[in-house]
Amino acid sequence: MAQEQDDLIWRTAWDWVRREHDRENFGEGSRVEMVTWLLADPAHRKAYDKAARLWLLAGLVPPTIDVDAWKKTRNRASPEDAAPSDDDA
Amino acid sequence: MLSLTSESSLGDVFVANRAQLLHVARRIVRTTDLADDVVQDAYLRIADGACDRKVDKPMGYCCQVVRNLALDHCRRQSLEATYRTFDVDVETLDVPGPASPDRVMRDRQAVGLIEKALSALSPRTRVAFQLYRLEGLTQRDIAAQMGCALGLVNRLIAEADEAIGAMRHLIKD
Repeated sequence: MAQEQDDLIWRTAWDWVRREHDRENFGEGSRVEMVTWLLADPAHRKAYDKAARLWLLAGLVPPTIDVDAWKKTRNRASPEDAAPSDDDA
Repeated sequence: MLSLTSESSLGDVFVANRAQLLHVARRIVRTTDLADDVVQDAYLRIADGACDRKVDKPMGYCCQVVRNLALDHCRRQSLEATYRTFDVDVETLDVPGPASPDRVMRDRQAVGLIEKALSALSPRTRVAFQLYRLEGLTQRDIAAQMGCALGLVNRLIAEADEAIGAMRHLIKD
């Protein structure tokens, strides 16, 4: 039970951090809603701080793929195709 | 003037391009003072080896680190401002102290493990993630660049976020 509760809090915190990153679509209303949730329980705030930290660290990962090279091979293969079949190359 | 070669360290590249990196930070945090703080923080992380492998485009990576630290800075500031409107003592907010060597090391390990988790994803997902999180494009621009629907971009980014979220155990209290 405690674990389930913990997972739910984490998931909510992680969702807030993701939404918050999309700054153009995260208005004052969303922010107030988020802070209301954060203040409701110290565990919420704790999970949020961890989620924000994980989010930041993910932003420090160096690129794992060369986007320009990917675009080139993709254009050569088929410009229109966005099907998953080009993923296994 | 430093002359940079392919053997230059990330730290050298950072120092040589400091003015441009300050500009990147200032566009996000708005003031020169804050931009200075962000760039200093970014430099420490990079000089300490934020990532320990060779990076193909060192300046691109320096910009990425500065941008993400600046965004984190803004996030914290906006949160603080909203806490104030709730009449909450902002002193209670989590303010990360100076990074201890121990923390720097754990962060570096965490970055390496997140990288590993991301590397397991499909190339398409990694491209979407990179354009969104590392280069700061909007999802709409990514759809245009990748030549696919906005809905798909949204799903790809969600997939990458899911893989990162699964690494929550890396973040200790």
